[in-house]
This record gives sequence, structure tokens and C-alpha cells, in this order.
Amino acid sequence: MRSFSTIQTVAFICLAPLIPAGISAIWHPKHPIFSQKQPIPELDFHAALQLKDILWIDARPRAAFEKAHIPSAILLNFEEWDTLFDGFLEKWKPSDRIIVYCGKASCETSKELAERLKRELQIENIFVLKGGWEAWHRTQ
Amino acid sequence: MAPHAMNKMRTVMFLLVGGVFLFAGVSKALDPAAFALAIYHYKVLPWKSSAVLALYLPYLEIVSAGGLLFRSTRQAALVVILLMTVLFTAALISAAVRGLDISCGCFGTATTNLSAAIFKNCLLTVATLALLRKQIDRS
Repeated sequence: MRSFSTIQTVAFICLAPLIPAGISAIWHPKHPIFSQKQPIPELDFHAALQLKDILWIDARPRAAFEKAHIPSAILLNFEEWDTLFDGFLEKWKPSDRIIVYCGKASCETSKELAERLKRELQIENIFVLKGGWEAWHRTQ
Repeated sequence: MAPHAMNKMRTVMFLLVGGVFLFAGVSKALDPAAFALAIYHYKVLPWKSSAVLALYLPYLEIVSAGGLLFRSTRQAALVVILLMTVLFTAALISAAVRGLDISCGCFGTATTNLSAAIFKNCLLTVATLALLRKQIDRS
């Protein structure tokens, strides 16, 4: 029986996943959409205040939220998604404009959370706060 | 250390490395869209490349983990796993150095702190390297 060299086996290991990957690209219910990704729009704080029916979402850890948060914001973060999501659904109305914020300008958690909400609930009116909590805090 | 104990330790390391990659692969394969976003947020690849990688990488992890089970494929599987751990560690360090506050994406949608992920990846890299070295000595 012919034995394969390590290089041939490495090549096989690298090529074999192409089959399930190709099947996933077509049939997986959660496959990524290949059309150009629409980024979640950013709003600075002053622009956000011009909007009506805002639902503020705080994507930071609970300790940061409990220390201080934007008034009327609700906590929804990845760490406690399963326990907090129902609370979010109770507060959210489809007519709301959701603005998600995290700690600071370099933080990507708010975008990730907004993208997850957009994907799971097909929400269109969703934004991230430019500069995050730090930007809001500076205006106070 | 006695050869018997060394063999036991090697078995445990194989199970650990294989188990981690199998779990990581399966958890990412369940939600490739979320994994694509996690890759995109590293700000290294454009969206389409992130999406392609998100579809391919979980199955590479699963196939590599499976390759550890068979003597004939074990060495090759370790080579692929080593390449992946080095690549993942480099990506995590790059994200940390650039000050990106992102989730690791290592195990699907479960968030992992970047520093913890770097540490775990370094341990995995060392374990894989040790196993590969022993495998090469034996062959």
C-alpha cells in the first residue's frame, strides 16, 4: 500500500475542507453574504441627540455600566447575551432607532453587537456612537 | 521522567490539542457569518476574504483534529495545526499592538479577552511543537 509523504498529506488536509466549505457557502443558514458589507453607520453624540425614539444600548461589561451609563441606556453585552437579550426585546420597538456604544473610539464591541442585532433581528435603524462612552462623558 | 509517564503526558497533550481544535472548528462552523465578522474586525482582510476564510477555516480545524487520530496522518495534522496556532497568535498580537478592542473569535460567538487568547495560543503552539518534534523523532 502506497504511503503518502507528509507534504502530500498536508496538502490533502488543506484541500479536504474546501468541500464542506463550498457546501456551507451555499446551504448554511448562517452563511456570510458576499456582497459588499454595509458598515453600521456611526453617529456623533450631537447628531444622535437630534433623533427621536432612541434606544441606547450599552455594550460594555456590567461593572462599567453600573458605574455610569447614558441615561435610559440598557445593558446588552456579549458576555451576558443570553440573559440580557430578553430584556432588550421587552424594551425595543421596531420604530426605535438603536444606538450602541462601548468604552471608547478604538472599541469595536459596539459595532460587533450592532451587527449581531442587525443580523438576528433584521434591524435597519441601528447605529454606533462615535467615540463611545468616552465621547458622551466628555460632553457632560 | 519514566517512558510510561511520558507516553501518558503525550496522550493527554494530543487529546488537548485535538479537542481544542475540534471544539473551535465546530463552534465556528455553526455560525460562519459571525466568524466572518470577527475576522473582519481584525482589520487585516477585506470583507470578502474574511467571508471565504470564515467558511474554510473551521473545517480545516476539524479535519486537522481528525488527522491526529490516525498514525499515518498525525504528523501532517500537527504541521497544519502548528501553522494555524502561529498564524492565530500573530493575528492576536497584531490586534493587541494596534489597540483593537475586539473579541477573539476563537470559539464562535463566545467572547474571549485578547490577552487570555494570546496566552492560550502560545501554550497550544508550544504543545503542538513538542508533539511534532516527538512525532518526527519516532518516524
